[in-house]
Amino acid sequence: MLSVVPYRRMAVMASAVTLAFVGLVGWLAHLQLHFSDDGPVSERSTVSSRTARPGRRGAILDCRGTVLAMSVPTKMVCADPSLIFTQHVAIAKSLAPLLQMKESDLLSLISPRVRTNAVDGRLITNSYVVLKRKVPIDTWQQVTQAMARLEMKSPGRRIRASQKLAWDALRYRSVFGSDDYLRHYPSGTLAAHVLGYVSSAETNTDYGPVFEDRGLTGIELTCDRALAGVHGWAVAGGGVEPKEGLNVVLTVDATIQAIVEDELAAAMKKYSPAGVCAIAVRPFTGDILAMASAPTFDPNSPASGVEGWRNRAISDLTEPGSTFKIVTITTCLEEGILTLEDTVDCENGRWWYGGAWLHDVHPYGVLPYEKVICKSSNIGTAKAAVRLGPGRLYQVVRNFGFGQRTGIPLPTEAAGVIRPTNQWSKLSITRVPIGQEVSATPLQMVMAMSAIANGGTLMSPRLIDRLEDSGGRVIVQYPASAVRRVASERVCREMVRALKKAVSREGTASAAEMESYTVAGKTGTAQKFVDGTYKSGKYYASFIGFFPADRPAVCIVVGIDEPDRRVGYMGGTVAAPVFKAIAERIAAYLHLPPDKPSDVPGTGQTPALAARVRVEPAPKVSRQ
Amino acid sequence: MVGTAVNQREQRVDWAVVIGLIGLMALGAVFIASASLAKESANRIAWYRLEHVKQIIWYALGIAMAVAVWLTDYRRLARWSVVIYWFSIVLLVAVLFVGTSHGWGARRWIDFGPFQFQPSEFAKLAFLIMMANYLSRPEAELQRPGVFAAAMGMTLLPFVLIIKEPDLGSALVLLPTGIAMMFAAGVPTRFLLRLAGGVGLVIALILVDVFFAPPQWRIPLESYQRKRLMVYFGVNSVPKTASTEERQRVLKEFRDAAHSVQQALISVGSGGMIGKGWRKGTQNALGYLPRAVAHNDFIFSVIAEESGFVGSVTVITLYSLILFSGLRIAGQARDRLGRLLAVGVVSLLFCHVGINIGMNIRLTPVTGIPLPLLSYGGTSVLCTLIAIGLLQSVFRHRRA
Repeated sequence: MLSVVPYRRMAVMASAVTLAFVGLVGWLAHLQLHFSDDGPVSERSTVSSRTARPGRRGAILDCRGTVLAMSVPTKMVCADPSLIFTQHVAIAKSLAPLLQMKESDLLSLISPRVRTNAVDGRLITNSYVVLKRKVPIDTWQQVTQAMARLEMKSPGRRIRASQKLAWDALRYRSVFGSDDYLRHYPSGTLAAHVLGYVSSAETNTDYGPVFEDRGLTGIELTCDRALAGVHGWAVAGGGVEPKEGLNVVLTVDATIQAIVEDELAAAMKKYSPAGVCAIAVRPFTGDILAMASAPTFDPNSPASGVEGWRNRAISDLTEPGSTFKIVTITTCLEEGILTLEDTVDCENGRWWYGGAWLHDVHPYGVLPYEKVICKSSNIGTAKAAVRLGPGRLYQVVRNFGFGQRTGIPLPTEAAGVIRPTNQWSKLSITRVPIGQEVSATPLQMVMAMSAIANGGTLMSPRLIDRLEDSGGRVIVQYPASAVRRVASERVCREMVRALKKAVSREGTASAAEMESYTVAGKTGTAQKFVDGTYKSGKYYASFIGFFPADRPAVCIVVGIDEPDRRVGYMGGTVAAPVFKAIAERIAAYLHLPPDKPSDVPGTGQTPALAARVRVEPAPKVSRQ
Repeated sequence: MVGTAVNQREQRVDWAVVIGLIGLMALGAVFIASASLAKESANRIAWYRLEHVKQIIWYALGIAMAVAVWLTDYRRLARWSVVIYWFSIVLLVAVLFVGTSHGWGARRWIDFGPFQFQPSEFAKLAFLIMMANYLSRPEAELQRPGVFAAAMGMTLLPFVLIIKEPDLGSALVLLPTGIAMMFAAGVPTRFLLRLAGGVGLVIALILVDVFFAPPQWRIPLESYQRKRLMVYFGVNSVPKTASTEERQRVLKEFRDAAHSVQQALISVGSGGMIGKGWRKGTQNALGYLPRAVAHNDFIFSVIAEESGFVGSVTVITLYSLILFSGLRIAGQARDRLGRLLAVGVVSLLFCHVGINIGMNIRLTPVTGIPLPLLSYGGTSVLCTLIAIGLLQSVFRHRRA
C-alpha cells in the first residue's frame, strides 16, 4: 500500500519543479523585456564598430627643408541623429556658432530621418551624418566642451538615473569627431604651380569610408602615391595604426622661388602682359631652383584663381624666336662650317630667299658671326643654316630636346612642335633656325641654354631631390641625369664668348648686364602666331641667360607673354631687365663670388656685396 | 463497473501531455527550419534531406514507438528491465570502440549507415526503467544500506561509461534523475543527504581537478569541455609564468570559447517581447550564433530571438504542462513501479529542460544536452517520445 511519505515527497518535487520554472521565466523576463530606457545605447555598445582612419599625407619640402605643403590634423565632426532624440534644438543652438553653420542647416542635419528597413519593414533611424569637415582641433575642443555643458530639457521635474545615463551617452556619443587632415600651404601662392593642389575624396575601405586628400595637379599629383598615407582602422579593442605618407623634397629653393615670384609680380605690374614665367636652373645638374608663373593662385583655395592655374613655364608653347639661334650657330660651329670670326653679308636688312623676303630689325652689312649672335641678325643666322642643310638642322633641334617632353615630373607639360623635314617648305630652312615654324616651352629653352652653359651636356630637369619618411630617413634619392651630349666643350666656350657679347653695350641684351657678374644670354622676340597668321602687336618677349658666364651657377629664362606695347615688346627691353633683377638677388642670396672687375679699380666688388660674399679664393679674372 | 469501464475507455490517454507534445513538436519543426535556413539554402539540399523534414520523420517514428509502449503494460516492460539495462551498458561500451565522433572530438555515436545512434540517450531510458524496477521493492527493504548501495551502483556504471565518451552533460543528468527516483521511492533521508553531499563533493572535486590539477592528473576531458567550464566559472588558466604571447593566446582561446555563450545571450536578449519574427533572427541568420549548434543545443536561443519573451514562455509552459501532468500521473499510478517510472520520466525531462535552457541563458555551463523534442536529433526525439509513451502507459494502466 502507498504510504503517506512518498506523497509528501511528490509534493516537494512538484514545488521544486515549480520553483525552477518560475526562476527560468523570471530570468527570461529580465533578459528579454527591457525595463530600462537605455536600450539603444547599451545595444550600440555591443555592436563592434569599425572605423577607417585616414593616413596623414606627406609634406612637400624645398631643398633646405622649408615646408611648402603639409597636412594639418583636424577633426571631422559627425553626429548620430538616432541618439540625439529630442535634444536636437539645444544641440543645434550651441554648436551652430562654433561650427560656423546656420542653425537651421545644422538642425536639419541632426534631426533623425526615419526610413523603412527593406528586410523586415521596421522603421530605422539614420545614425551617422557628417556635420562639418576639416574642423580645427581647438574648435573641436570647444565643441566637446559645449556638448558636456549642454542643458537638457527634462520631461519631468525629477531626473531618473536611467535618464541621466541616456543623457551622458547623448553628451559623449551623439556628436563625435574622427581624424581628418587639412592640406595647408604655409607660404600661400609660393611655388603654387610646382606644388599643385589637392582635393578631398572619399574611398570605401573594408572598414568603412575614409576621407583622404588626392593630388589633382603639380607635385601633389605626380607624387600622389608617395605622398598618400596608408589608412588604418580601429575596431573595438584594437586596430591598425594609419601610416604617414612620404615627404617629397624638391630641388626648389624657397628663397629663390620667392625672389623669382617677387620679380615676376613686379613685371606683371610694369608691362601688364597676359602672363609671365621664369625658371631658374642649375646648369650642371639640371636642378630646378625656381619655377614660377604669373598670374598665379593660392593652392589653399585653388578655386579662387582659376585663370592662374596654368603653369606657363612648361605648358606655354610659343615660337622661341631669336633665342633659338643659339642652337643653329652652335651646330654650325660644331660641324666646322664656320667660325665666329668668319663674316657673312647681312644684306642690309633684306634678303630674298625661297620666294620671300627675310628682314632684320636693324639693317647690317658684313658681320662676323660673333656679331650676328650679338646683334641677333636673322639673315646671318639663316644663311648659316642654309649651309648646314635641313636634315642636319632637324636632327640637332631634336637633339637639343625640342619636340619632345623633357620629362619633368609635372603634369601638363607640352612637347612642342618641330615638323620633320619632309613637311618643310622652301622657306623653312631660313625660318626654323631663327625660331619660327617651331614651338617650344620655356623649360625646353632653358635646358638647351643650360647645355651650352655646362659645356655641352643636355641635362634632364630635376625637380624632386628625394623621398623621405616622416623620420627623415631617405627612401629614394633621384640623381641628376644627363640626356645626351649636344656640343663639344670648345664650341660651348666659343658660344659663351659670343653670348657674353650679346649682354653688353653693343648687344641686344644690354639691359641684362649685371654689376659684378658677367652674363651670357640671348634675347628673343617672337610675333605671336595665332590662328594661322602672325598677329601684329602681340609678341612673346624672352631672355635666357646664365651667370657667372664662365662658371655658370644659375641659368634663368624669363618669358613675357603679350607685354603692353606702349612699354615695350622686345626681349631686350622687357625680359632682360627682369632677368637682371632676378639674377642680382639670386647672386646675393647664393653668395656667388663676383667675376667681373668693378668700375672702381682695386675693390673688385661693390661694397654692398662685400658684406655678403663668403671669403673664397679671388675670382679668376681671365679673358677680356 | 459499467461506469468505470466507460470512464476507463474515456481516459486511456492523458490529453494534457499530448497537447504539450504536439505543441513542442510543432515548435521544434518550425524553428529547426528557421535555424538551418542559412546553412541549407546555401547548399541547395533536396527537400527530404532538410533538417526539419528529417526531424518530422523522427517525430513520426517516435510517436509510433510511443504508441507501442503505451499499448504495452509497463509491468510487462519492467520485467525486461535487466535485459534492457545491460543491453544499454553493452552499447555504451561498444561506442567507446566503434563510435564515431562526428568531428566533434567525442565518440558518442554508433554509425548505422543512414542514421547514427547515440547510446547515451538510450542508456538514460534503460537506466530509468532499471531503477524504477529495482526501487519498486517493498519500502522496508529500501532502509537497507545494501539496496541503496546497489541502486548507487546501477547509477554509477552508466555514469562512468558516459563520462568516458566523454559526454559530461548526459552523464551528469543521471545523478539528479537517480536521486529523484530514490527520493520518490522512499529511500531514507539520511542516505539521500549523504548521497547529495557525495555528489556535491564529486562535482567539486571534478571542477578542482579540471581547473587546477596538473595536466597528467586531470580526468580526460576534451579541451573544449574544459574551456566551457572555465567560461562558465569565469576562470582563465593563464600560468603566472606565461609570456605575453602565451597569455594572449590563452585569453584569445578563452574569448573564443565564451563566444557562443555570449552570442546566445545576445540572441535571447535581443528578442524582446514578441521577437524579430520567424526566420528574421539576425543572430541566427548571420551566423553570430554558431551554425553548428543553432539547430540543436542552442535552438532555444533561436526561438527566443525570433519569438521573444512570448515564445520562450510558451515553450516553458508546454514543458510544465507535460511535467506537472507527469507528476499527477505518478500520483495516480496503481503501484510503486508506475509511480517511479513516471517520476523518473519527469525528472529526466526536467533535467534536460533545465540544463539546456539554463545554458542558453547563461545559468548553467554549456554541456551538450539537447532540449527534448525541440533540438534536432533522432535518438533524443525517439527516447523522449518512448519516455512519454511510458508515462502514458502508466496512466492507461492506473487502475487494476
